[in-house]
Amino acid sequence: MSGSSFSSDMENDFPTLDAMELATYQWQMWADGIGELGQRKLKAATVLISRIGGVGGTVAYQLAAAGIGKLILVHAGEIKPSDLNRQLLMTHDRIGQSRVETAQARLLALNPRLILELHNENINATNAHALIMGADVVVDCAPLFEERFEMNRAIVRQCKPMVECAMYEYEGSLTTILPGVSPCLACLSPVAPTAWRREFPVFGAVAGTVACLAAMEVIKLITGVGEILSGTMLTMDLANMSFAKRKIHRNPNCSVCKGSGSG
Amino acid sequence: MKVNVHFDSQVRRIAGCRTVSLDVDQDTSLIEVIKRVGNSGTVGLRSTLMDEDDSVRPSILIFLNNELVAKEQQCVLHEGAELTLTTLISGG
Repeated sequence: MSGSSFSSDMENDFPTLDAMELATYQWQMWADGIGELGQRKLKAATVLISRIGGVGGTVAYQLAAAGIGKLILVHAGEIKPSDLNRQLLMTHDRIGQSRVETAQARLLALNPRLILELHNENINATNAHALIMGADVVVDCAPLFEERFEMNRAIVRQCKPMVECAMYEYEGSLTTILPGVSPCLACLSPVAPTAWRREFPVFGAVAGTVACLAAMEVIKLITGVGEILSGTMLTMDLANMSFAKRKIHRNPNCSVCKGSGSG
Repeated sequence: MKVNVHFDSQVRRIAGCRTVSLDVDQDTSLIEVIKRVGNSGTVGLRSTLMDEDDSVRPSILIFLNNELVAKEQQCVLHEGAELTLTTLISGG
């Protein structure tokens, strides 16, 4: 479906762009449906990204490049050597130091106007609701299903759109959850797969591919251009470059979103 | 009739292949095909797909011709059906 949380065309609802912003985003404002108003919508938006690893870090970088106004970054811990094959915001000289602080330096080097809110913690049952309260759009890039299910519960409660993106080995998947409209994560699977393990095979190029597609979902949600993956799961297998758009449906008995919205 | 069963994500890793082609009787149900795959003898595949009570695990996603099918849905397959068995993934 098309549509946006930011679909107001009242120009006064969105901050103006200064001369540097007009120069920086000139080429993307030429894209059909964006223009200066679309860029101002991006500037007005706050996006929360859960984990800034191989997927989330590249989502953050692409959104910073696109001129998103504010990012809320949620990721605990310090950089390890095994992060560096895919977590492009992290650098070798920062091993042992905070991931979110390292990301801050990298993102501000790209976009010094970006407003950042850093949380050196992961999403859990205690903090999910409050963290998501401050966001217009949420991007779920967590490696643990417990975190993904907490995010899912919180966005359904608050009726916030969430871009749900994940990868495994050479595969990726992506869908956009509009609570009450399209299936939530628990509609698809009420429990974590029995075989899932915290450590998984991953190439940075696979994580980055999924991340760039997820960033485009965010940009479309905010600007209202194009069609988002609501009620559709995009799956990809980069081992043989096969892509599929699969129809997904709400579960009328879903323990999380039953009774919300339509359908 | 012939149906193709594709495996994605960790189900593929356990199945050890991307796709199997099965010859099944006309009007074979989807659940019967999944049970047949699970009982193929591949180590770990049955317990990945099925519960102890012989029902499909809630975490298994079933796509028939690229459309999600509810596990409780009574569904008969037709010649050339493309079935995909997978799970959500969570790598980030």
